[in-house]
Amino acid sequence: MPSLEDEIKQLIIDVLQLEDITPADIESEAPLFVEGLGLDSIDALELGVAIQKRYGITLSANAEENRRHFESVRALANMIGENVKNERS
Amino acid sequence: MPDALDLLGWLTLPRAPSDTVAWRHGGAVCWHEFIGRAGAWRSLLQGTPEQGFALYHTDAVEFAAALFGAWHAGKIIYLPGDSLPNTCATLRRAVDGYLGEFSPQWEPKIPAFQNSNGDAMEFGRLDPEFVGVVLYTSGTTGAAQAISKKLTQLSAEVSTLEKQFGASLGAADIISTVSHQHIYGLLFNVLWPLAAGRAIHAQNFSYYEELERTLAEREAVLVSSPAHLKRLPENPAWTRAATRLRAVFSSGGPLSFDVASECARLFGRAPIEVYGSSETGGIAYRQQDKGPDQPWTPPPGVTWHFDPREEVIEVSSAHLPDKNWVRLADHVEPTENNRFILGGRVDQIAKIEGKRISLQAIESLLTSSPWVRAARVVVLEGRRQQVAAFVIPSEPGRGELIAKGKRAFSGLLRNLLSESIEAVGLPRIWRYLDALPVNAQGKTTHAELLALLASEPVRPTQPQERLIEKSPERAVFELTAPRNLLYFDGHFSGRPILPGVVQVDWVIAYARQCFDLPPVFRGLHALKFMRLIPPETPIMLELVHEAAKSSLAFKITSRLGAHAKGRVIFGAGNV
Repeated sequence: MPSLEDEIKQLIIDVLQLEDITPADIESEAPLFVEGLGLDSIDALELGVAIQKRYGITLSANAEENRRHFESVRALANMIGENVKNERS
Repeated sequence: MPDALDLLGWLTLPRAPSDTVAWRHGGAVCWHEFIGRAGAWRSLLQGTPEQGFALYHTDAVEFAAALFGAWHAGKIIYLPGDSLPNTCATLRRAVDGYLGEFSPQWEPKIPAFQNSNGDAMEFGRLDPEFVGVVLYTSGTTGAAQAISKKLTQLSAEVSTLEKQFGASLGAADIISTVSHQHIYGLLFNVLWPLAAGRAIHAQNFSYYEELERTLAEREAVLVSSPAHLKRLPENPAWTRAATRLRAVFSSGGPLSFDVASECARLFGRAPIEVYGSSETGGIAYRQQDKGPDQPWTPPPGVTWHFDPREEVIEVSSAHLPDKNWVRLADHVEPTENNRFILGGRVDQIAKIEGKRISLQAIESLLTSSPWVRAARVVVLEGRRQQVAAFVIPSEPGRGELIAKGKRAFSGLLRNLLSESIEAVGLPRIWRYLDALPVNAQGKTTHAELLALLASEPVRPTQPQERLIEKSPERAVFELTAPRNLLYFDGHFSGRPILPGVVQVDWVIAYARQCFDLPPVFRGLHALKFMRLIPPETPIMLELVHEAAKSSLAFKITSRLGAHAKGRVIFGAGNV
């Protein structure tokens, strides 16, 4: 079974229709925006909508938290993991 | 609230020092604090010999303080749309200095933050004839086109907006997704609300959920664009909050009727769409609440006429510098009652998710690279508009492409563009060709290029396979690389060969299918590529696993002879 991080990498590639990139090319800790993958603000919105849909979670109302959560694949995975755990408990 | 706003004198209005002018990170910025910052900017600039300054600041409140401070110091403000390196370098010719968030090499000025000593900051009225601001919009060639505005033009436009919409906005906050470095954001996020006494928000939000807190406490108006409005999230908390928006404005391109209807369902009313340009300001509005393709209506004070030959309109209004007619760059079809329907643009400027991107500029930047002989770019419509680049590499470029691989090479070209082109306009699809496709008239048209992409089905990345034999330590496959294999792309157009790196990748992938290999790739030994592998040629892949040495020997042969051989060494992960 792919790890949550791999799953997110695939989701990013699928949702944003990134060409010539495989999950292996995305480093879990590399920044997603500007440097790193070079995603832009439109990508951020699309990714936000897709992640909410896929994992049934809600983004924070706090801008600073969202910025941190969307920093890297790892940060996203942690956020999703936490959210899913909280929902179950 | 008075109908006619006084943008030129709003700093002279009597207001309580504790009045909220804006919000920043959940805290109020009061009138006293704002006036203090505007005063600090004025003191910094007053009496200096420089005439014009570039201003870039992502904090709308600090931006406004700098703008008014500079105007009151008699300085002309140049507003670039971004702070990319090439933009700053180009500005150098026009400006004497930089204010705000520029990279240190431009030595941007910013006044120190200090508690103002409580002295009343005295501001007079601004001179209506003062040419206070120069905006930039990308022309067809990509060279930024400067548009200067007298303060009276801005003031007139702000008054028109208040007359038209003020009553329906009440005292709501203004929150935004668009940049105030462009005319729409400058007017809607900053100048209009400040002059009208509506609180602005220092930061644009990234995700709609971030509005929930603001909307829980106060009413707000959303200033946005089709790019943002077509990407609304579905979650109950935000949906509930959204009903508290008093109005939604959208500019940067027409909203599709679907998106307008979805917004109407969510917000209770369709967004007010604004049509205009940096040159003219807003010249028409519409609200798609009665069906698709509703025509646009100019507000009182904007007159227009139709030029049937060019199918464009020309406008005249108090928002323009003089009585001359100004031509707009969109095709138009007049309808009844002084209204019109908008068609596509007349020129080569593309709108990518609401941002003006010059395709010609991208093409000339690409061809300025020694690796590129020729390039054409097109805009692809779809859920997300994106740019596709078709590149004919030069001889050295071809070598670089082969050495680095398609993705890394495209990355280099992308970096070259990112000095000048905003992120949304950077090509996301790259094709390397030997020659540009031409139609029967010998022209490379948009259609020919699109056809090139359309003819690409989902491209295979794996060969057709047939297992010939398999034992615990040995396996033989017959593999055939199909002609449309992705990896033949650019790997010599006209003379496709299977790249060595792909051969090794397949070796490892098939070996992992057959044998229990340690997880980590440690290296390649005695690797030899003896003969090229063309498409559609069946090859035999022989794999021999030596578990004791964690090694995998491989050989690729065909009826043509030996193609490649070598050994792959594996190891355990570092535990």
